[in-house]
Amino acid sequence: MAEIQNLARGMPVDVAQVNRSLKTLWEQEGNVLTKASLINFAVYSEAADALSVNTQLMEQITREHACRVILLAANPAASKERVQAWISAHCHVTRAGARQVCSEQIAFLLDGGGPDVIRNILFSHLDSDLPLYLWWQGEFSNRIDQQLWSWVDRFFFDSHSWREPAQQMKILRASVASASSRSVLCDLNWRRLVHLRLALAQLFDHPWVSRNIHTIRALDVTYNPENWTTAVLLTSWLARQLRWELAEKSDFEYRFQWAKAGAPVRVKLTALPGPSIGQIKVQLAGGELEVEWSGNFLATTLKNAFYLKQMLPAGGTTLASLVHDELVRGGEHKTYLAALKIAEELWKSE
Amino acid sequence: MTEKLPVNPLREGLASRAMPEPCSVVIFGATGDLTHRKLVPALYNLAADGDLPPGLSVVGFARRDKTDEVFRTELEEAARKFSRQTINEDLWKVFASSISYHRSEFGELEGYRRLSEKLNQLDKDRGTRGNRLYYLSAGPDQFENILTNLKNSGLAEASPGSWARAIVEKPFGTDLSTAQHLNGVVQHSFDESSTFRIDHFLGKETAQNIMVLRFANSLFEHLWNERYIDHVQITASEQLGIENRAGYYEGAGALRDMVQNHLLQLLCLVAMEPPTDLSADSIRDEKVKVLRSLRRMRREEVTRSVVRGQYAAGSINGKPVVGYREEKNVKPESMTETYVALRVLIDNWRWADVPFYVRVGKRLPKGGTEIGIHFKNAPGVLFNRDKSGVRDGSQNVLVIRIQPDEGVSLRMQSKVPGASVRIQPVKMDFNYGTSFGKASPEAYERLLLDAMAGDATLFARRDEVEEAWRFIDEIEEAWVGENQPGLTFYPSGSWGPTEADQLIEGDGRAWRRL
Repeated sequence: MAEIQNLARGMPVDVAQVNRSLKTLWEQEGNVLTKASLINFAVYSEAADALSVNTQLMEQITREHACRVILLAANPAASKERVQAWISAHCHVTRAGARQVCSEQIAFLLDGGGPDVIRNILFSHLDSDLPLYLWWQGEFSNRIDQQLWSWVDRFFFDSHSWREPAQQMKILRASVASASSRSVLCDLNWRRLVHLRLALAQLFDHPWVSRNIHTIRALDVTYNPENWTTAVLLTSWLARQLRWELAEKSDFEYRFQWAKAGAPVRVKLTALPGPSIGQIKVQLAGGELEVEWSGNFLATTLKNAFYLKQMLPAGGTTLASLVHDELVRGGEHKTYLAALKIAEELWKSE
Repeated sequence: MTEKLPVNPLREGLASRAMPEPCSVVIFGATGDLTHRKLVPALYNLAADGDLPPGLSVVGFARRDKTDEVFRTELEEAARKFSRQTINEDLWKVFASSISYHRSEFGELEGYRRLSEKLNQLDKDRGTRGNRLYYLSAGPDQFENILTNLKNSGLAEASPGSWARAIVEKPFGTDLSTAQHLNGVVQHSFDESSTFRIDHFLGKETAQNIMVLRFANSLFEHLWNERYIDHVQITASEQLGIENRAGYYEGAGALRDMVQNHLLQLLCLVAMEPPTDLSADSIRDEKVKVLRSLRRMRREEVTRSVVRGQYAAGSINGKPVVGYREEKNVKPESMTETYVALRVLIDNWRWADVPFYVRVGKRLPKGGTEIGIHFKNAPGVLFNRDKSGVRDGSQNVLVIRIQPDEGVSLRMQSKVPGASVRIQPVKMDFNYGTSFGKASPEAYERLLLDAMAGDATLFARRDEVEEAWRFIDEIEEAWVGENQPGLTFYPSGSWGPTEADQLIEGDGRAWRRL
């Protein structure tokens, strides 16, 4: 017990002996701890402090999602090829009480080497028969290895961190096209919007809104200056779902028009410090819908002949909570893929 | 011309279940225990999860005089105590603003007319469009009063394009004839599609998982029949006694309180054929077929296949506890059973001669509800040669744990490492808490949401309830009159009367050790 709990920093092991070392470790622990795993969760990063940052992140994620964690910290610029490995475990007391449930973690530091090394290291350390989720942190410099891609069940990334989202999405699409992959694209930037989408959808459940939906003429979105891509994704989703067609665009203001009817819809994005998306206002004939942050909740308001206010969960804003949300909700993200077509158009610089 | 959009285009990709429309929920018996312990905490949790429809209103209907403010304060205290999620001040404030109180006698028509005016006003203020959900949480002796007045005041009738539904809490009668009478009263006011008979066991995650386990996996269903299954055990044990429910329990007993509804529902889920689809009626059709196939018991069969017991004084968790007859408000000569064990047979092709052993009891050593599927022994040709006649321990057993510690385990035989061939049972265990960190919602949350959305899958249909009573009544009838099978006694803290052990041991089997 003491030994495994001291493993938070990781125990260095020979790369060829990782699986054997893990087995020995669990044998020593006997019945005290329960090892659990539902997925292989691999995280790839080229950031300098990737191992420590991601170990902390996975410590949070494994609280609710038992998995085999495989951290891949790559330093492609290193002159000499070398692979180092550490093993550790994230142990948490279950809700039921005394029993500790552990997710094992294997961390690799990959100096030099290319896609072959990544693929081999990852494939040789998967827990068999479990799905593979790969979280690619940062940007893509090239297409993702075709064979690796074909093994990935869910591919996590965050379009929010991309400097050139349109260009990055092009590489990603090329990777998807290169393999007959069944991988689901899981954009954490899209996940960032889920509670806002739910809040808006709930307002649209109201019979008065459904009756007046075609009278929407303006949408105002306030977003954190860091989250322009997020605001564009939100706009694209609304445009796709409500069948608006793009008529005119600048960086912060768009003109759409309702398909067939042709009535105009003005969309204005305003950057303000605060939450990723601070406020959404939708103007309809005879009323207004509003979603805005209020503490840890989203306050939704419907103003017309009557005034209805509700508080809805806003969800977490940390990376760990976004990943958690994604793991809980799953889905194929067809709505995202449909909205993405518009977002890519809006992301393109003039 | 505008393009026709789905009802709510923003819901696409967000929800896999039907979202409820805005509505008013009226709780009859709003000052009672169920409202405080279960209903309001469940509604609050739904609000906290963002699952309530916009504009929802909650109206408490009860006899005591009190203001909206006092009612809200009482509910807030209850929610703080019983909600699975911590109460957030801001959220509670907004949620509480949707709650109001309506004082009236249950039998006073004028009170219902005033309720109608109030609900109409709420429709105008909150856009609930005349959708109403009436929750009958008052004592069963008030059901008729409430339902008749709902009809006479016009509240049971939905305006065009709207709906009016009633949730009826158990007990659905005390025998077949009272159940039929109650169903008649309910259907005089609400048609069957608008009637939701609640059995909270069906709202539990693991009960819902039984169908998934059976029909979403190719592994089990091929073995799920009399060729491979030796017998099935369904156990619901409680450490608790009757607490403060003597008034109800004296007239009910374990058979009516637990077996007629909860345990027969679980039995149906285990024994039913695959439904043609997942609609409420397809599933309930299959459950009714099982109930109709239960072999009826005549008096002599009841003596052979049913054991009833009552707890005597004993010890629970090291503390002495009194016997049932010494409990407050229980008659000293009470014949009410607190334990019952039954051997049930299902006369259909799939389950011919496969006994289902069902037992339920209070003041047992530990609490839990489990289903054990005991598979037949492997042929005694290679490894089981010297074990003839000893069944327990060598059978494969699939256990579905309904509560607590929800999960599924499979017991199988394995070779003990070593030079000699020694076989020992081992257990593969799936545990909800370990595999899915997410807390399951309370059964009432799921059921309230389903009723708002009009999904009756997890609610009992009229014919289900009546078929279950038809089966139970024959046992109850055998227990009264001359030559009735005796009531046996068991010490609190034991696993029930020895007669229950003999019931299953007489068949060459043994109760599972929980």
